[in-house]
Amino acid sequence: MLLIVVASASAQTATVRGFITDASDGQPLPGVNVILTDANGGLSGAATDTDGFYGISRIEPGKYQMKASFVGFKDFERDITLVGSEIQTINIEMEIEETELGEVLVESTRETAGAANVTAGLQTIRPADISLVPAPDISADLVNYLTALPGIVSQGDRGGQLFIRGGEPTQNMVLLDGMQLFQPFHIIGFFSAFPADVINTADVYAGGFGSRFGGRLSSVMDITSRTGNKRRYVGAATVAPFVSTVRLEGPLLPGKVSFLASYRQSVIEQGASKLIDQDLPFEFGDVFAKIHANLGQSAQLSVTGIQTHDNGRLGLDPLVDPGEEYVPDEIKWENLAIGSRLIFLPATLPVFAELLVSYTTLKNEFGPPGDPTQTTDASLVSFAANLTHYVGTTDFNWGIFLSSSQLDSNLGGIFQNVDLKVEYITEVGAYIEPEFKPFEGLTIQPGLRLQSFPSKNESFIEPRFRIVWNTGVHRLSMAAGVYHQEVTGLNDRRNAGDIFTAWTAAPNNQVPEAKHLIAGYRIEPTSWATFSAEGFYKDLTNLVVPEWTAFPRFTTRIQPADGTASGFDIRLELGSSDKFQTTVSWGRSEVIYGSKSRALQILTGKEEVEYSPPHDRKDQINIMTSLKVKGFNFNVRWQFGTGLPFNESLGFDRWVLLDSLVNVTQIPGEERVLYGRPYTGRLPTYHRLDISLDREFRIGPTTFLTIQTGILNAYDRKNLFYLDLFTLRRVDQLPLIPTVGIKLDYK
Amino acid sequence: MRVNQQKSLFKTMNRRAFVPLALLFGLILWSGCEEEVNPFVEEDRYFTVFGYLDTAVDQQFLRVIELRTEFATAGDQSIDAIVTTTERETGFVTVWRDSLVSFEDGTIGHIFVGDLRPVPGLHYVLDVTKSDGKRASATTLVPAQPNVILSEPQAAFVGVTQKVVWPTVRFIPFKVEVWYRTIDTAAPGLPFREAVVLYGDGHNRVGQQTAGGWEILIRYAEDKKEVTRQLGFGEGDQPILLSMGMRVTMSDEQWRPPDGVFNPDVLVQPGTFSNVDGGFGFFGSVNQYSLEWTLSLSVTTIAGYTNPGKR
Repeated sequence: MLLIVVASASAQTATVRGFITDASDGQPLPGVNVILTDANGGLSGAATDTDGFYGISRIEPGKYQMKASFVGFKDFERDITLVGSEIQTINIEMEIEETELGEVLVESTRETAGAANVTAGLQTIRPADISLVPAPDISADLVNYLTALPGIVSQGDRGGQLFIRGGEPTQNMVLLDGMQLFQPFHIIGFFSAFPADVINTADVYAGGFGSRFGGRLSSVMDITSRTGNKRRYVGAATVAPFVSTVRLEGPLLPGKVSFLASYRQSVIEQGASKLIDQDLPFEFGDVFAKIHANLGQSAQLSVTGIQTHDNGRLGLDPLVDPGEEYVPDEIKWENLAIGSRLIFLPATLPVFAELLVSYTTLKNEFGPPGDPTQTTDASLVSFAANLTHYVGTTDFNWGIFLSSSQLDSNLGGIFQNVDLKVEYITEVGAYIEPEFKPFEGLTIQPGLRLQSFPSKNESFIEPRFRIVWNTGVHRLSMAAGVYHQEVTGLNDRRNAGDIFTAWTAAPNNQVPEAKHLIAGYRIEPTSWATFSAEGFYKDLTNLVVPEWTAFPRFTTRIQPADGTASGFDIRLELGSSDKFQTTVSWGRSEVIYGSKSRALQILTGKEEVEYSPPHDRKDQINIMTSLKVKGFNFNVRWQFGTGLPFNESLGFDRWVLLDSLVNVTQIPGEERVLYGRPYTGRLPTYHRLDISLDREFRIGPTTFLTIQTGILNAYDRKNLFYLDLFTLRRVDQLPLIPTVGIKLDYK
Repeated sequence: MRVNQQKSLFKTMNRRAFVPLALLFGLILWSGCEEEVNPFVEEDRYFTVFGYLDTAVDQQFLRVIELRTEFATAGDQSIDAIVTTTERETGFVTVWRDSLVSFEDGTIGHIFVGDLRPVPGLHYVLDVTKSDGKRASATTLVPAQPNVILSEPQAAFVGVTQKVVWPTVRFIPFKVEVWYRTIDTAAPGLPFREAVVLYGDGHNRVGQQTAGGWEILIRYAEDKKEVTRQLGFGEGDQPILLSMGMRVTMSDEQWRPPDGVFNPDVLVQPGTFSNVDGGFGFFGSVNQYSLEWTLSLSVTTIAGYTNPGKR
């Protein structure tokens, strides 16, 4: 019915659409402007999305000049004639523009999205953005850039946990080519499952995400990978103290089918550990592969697979004296995901359709090596169909989704009041999200998402709203929405060394809920300066947090808590990425949880006791500078973060339960930590300076050698990762590390 | 001229902007220099104590734990503490002596022993003092014997029952005992013997709170089985019942947990259940409330005993 209505509405008008790719390698080109000019100079147009797709509909029949333009590429121009009801598919291959000296202009200019280019919580990241951040490895990684953004708090350089604008790591949804990944950040905080080499774009919604996404409270990272080179075989290999990598890509059927494969394996124990003469018991790796096929002019199919593995030992055993031999607990996790994505353009309808099918698993273990006490197995099969109808100035987005999860966790008794069993959760739903453009520069995107869990007899209707207004050099934006998370992760945040996450269904009638409100302003007064400011507020209810207890035991109870997260961030970006670029950002936030723990109620006489959870970093400052001189790339990053909350204590004693005529001469009592209120202390501030310098040398017609050197934590700041209250032993983050890396690139 | 003014204004603005920026930068550097962290906050608290005064005995025991900043699994050998109790109404001071106790779990602890029998109705002030004068203290008022109402025995299908109501008791007693003083009819020359029936949780007979006070129901038939078992009588024997009574071991008014429940997950939180100034833990007192009575001839018989007048 909907299709008929839309079809009849556009019966007398024409549509032009297609995919735009880079002629040199067949990669889709996002952000290309496509303009149609009629005989009277009237304009209509669109910009390509991450698939390089554009669609212009409701065009009056007639003759037009079509022009596609993008920085670093030659303009594409063609005269076209459209008749009534016609849908023309015009795929364009854009040629790279070369200078008189034969140098390719496109390399950096086409790809940076800009750190200050944030719109109502959405930040688009391109590989070139990532390469501006100094990293311990010549192979840049998405997470290294994410941690440089205001509002994103990491535990540090180990642990692989990201807290986005007050949200917990398990409240972030990470999608790779539409496949959900449960825990894709590696145990060393500089690395994720997403090396820059395989990324096409990453859209990071720090909140206020649209109706297409659901099932998480905090954020969405929607990452699309490159399709692989369709013209020739290329590849790269890197060697560095943390990770060694190999990437290969090329045509299987030239111009039609391509593959992209990447393999990374940590070499920390052989490399970085020896450089600093310190035990770094971490090991991780990932394998990525993708096949992409153009199925004619109007359809594309891709199949993506990824496997990651991590293991390491983060914590300390408080009951073991320093120097005493012991085997620390080990954390391990493995992600495996495989999925396919079909996009097609129906011949007779001005529609872009996407079908996604994927299967994802996570295995997570914690405990003595070989004999884990806590385990979780989560798997997810999902199907989604997303459609966009192009109706004049309105993009009518809607979709349906169906998924089934299996969650099997063994908590080893860590949460006393949780008895988990194997759970099967089916989710079915639909969304609708038209995108109105009533006049030039204004986009209004109301949305509604309906999700239902038949096995739990629960349904949610989630309204969403997004508005963006571009006027001159200004951009105003706002986003809001309601979100629920049926599949939640349980963590025991009392122990920083234990990042084990148990995935489970939320208790009935106690599904975590968040309400987001984001408002932002951005100004780009010149081509070399961008300033943005954005405020956010998140109202959180039914969070599942470990009960705060004075027992020094590794078990606790879980309890519900409500909370808020609010703050703002300010970003200033100066220069351009081809010569000099600097970005300064300041993020200010406050996360408050409210606990109704009976003990705290008694202690304080208040119904609810507010506290700052351990990821509440109040202020974050990031300064990044990138300079290119005579072929050298010099990158500097300085990060500063105020201290994270921790539990202060009055000390220790022993506790005897005097519940009757207890014979105190016979009852030994239990060792107790004398906590006051939760998380009243603040750890020392975190700050660090990273520097890198690299240069690419041509050693053959298409072969390049890049040498990178750098210093991580240049002034050897002792940033605290973990303080064990029982022994007062501390685990610091990585000290000063000199790095050197080599990359051989066959382009 | 205008240009100069603008330059001057610009300089002033620069200076104005520079000062807060410099201050901010300085603040960041200053706050950022600190690398160490002290997880312990200092408060005027020095000891944790657990113990109570018992009117039933002449020797009292108190566990004293010195607050420390080291996690100790075994316990400390020595303790810097002097423990005294002062009878507030009389000023009488008892100095307690330290003893080191090894517990079953291998840990050790300091148990202070006080040689005194507390007097119901008096206040006792506990002081635990370090050599530098720092002190933790607590006070307990030893509960005094309250009024009691003994209702008439009632004969019912289940046998004879009788209610005992303690009007001022508003909390579950720690212990309720009913004792029976008997003489064996087969050996009336022997001294009397007592059987004590414990009305504890196991029997769910410890009583209940009613509008009139704490009400305890005595079920004679049920008790008779226990009396018979304890004294070694035969099932059909009817020993002579001289008298009987009830002892209720009652805690002082401070010994009341939040919400009326001794929930360890709540009470473990420091400060949720404590009467110690300058420390943590609890120092209380208990008293045994007593009542003695005799049964009428007919009730004694129905209850399965022989009346003393019928030897």
